Amino acid sequence: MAKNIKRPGGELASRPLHFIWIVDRSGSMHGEKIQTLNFAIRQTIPDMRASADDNPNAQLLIRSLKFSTGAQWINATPISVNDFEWNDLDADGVTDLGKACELLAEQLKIPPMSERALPPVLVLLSDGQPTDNYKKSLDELKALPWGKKAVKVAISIGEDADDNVLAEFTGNRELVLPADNPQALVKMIKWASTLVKQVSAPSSKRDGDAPVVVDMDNIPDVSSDADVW
Amino acid sequence: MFQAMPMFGNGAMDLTFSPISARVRGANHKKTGIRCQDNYGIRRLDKMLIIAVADGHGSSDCKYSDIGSEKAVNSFCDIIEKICKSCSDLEQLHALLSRNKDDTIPTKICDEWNRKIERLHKKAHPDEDFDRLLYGSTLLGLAVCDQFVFAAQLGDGDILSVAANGSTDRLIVTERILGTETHSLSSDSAWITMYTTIKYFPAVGETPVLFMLSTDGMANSYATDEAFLLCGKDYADSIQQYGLEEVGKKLKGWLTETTEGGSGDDIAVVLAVSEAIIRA
Repeated sequence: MAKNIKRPGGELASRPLHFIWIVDRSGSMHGEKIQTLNFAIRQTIPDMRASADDNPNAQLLIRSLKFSTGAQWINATPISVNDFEWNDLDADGVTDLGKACELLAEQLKIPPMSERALPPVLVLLSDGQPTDNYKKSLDELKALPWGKKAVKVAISIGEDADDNVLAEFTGNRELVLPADNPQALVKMIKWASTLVKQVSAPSSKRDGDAPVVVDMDNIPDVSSDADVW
Repeated sequence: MFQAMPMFGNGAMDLTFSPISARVRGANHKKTGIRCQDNYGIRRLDKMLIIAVADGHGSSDCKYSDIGSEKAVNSFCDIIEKICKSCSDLEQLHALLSRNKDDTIPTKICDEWNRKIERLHKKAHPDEDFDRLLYGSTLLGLAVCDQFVFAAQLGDGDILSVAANGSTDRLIVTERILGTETHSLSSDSAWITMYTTIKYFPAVGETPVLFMLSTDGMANSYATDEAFLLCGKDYADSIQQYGLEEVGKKLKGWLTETTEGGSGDDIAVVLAVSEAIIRA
């Protein structure tokens, strides 16, 4: 007769999936840009929650980091997507991307990151040129094991953003997404939020091939959107 | 050092180690309709048990990787069985495995896999260009008797060894590749990335009581590595208390619970269990 034998092993757990918004709130973002950004990120929350419900084996954890003069975590402790809320940011100051990279790097080390986590998703939103010595910090970030494996996307806001710097961050120019007007910014932020679906249930990949391959077929076409910033 | 043993037959004599096994399709693949990518293999010879597990990559680039993992476990079992049967006794077998574990044996296993998949592909998909990547898979294998164990690992997954006192260790410690990447049979010179080991048991009391091969969906389902390693002692204790057959019946259900509560990935597990705890 089948006995009630306890399942061997200890506690089970889904794999953590860290999603981090990295937001430029420098003075040049003042006005429509920051307002649209605030609106767009807030709009992503219901769909990200739905994604999380569809993929219960990935524990979706959200964090946000803001940078202008200096950089600070908006929430340094990862929050379950079900508890995540977006509070509007204002815009003021310069563009200390390097400081942002330093803060990111501290959190991508092991620990606090776990070896069993899924590849983290980092989304950088910026409209300008870095005003600090960002290169050293960015290189250190990208040299970390999780820095290499992370899915990195950048949204280039307006015509003054330095796409070369953003491409250094992503490691792939195709993952620098143009957002020259409010409609485009909303579309690109929404697309970036859908990356959680791609990373939530990944298949194994042969080591040495590209890390998580992002499906870029669905990146919105914003070429026809009017009113360039 | 070695007891003189007869030529290796087909398991007609009592095995020192007995297997139980199961595989389950993960929650993620059930949702997307993808077949289970994990497979296992078992070969019983007199006094020697050969077991293997493999995990097909399952990505869109690897659309036949469920077949790849099946051929992987068959390749390991075929090659090791051939080696066993080429030896007249355990001493000769131990010497042969020791001498060739780092190069010849990994090469033979990888070559056998390549042969199997290429032959199958030409027959099943004659109009499609052959590419090893289509069948990409990991491979973990083990051959054990009461005097020594030989193990091989290419890619992620775990091979656990459980001592009589319940302490559990990995038989092979590989580099940890973060995220979802792994070494693969489909890589060029894949044999170089196959880790192997052979361990001799100098005294009866030092023979492990259980070995567990599992694909990475298993370990990735546990909150911590310690929680996963606890499986070793728990399986040994359950078998000792309830018997091999009873635990064997429960295995698939436990793996289903594990993937659903954990990684969502496919899982294949084979346990090699010593008669020392089965008949205890």
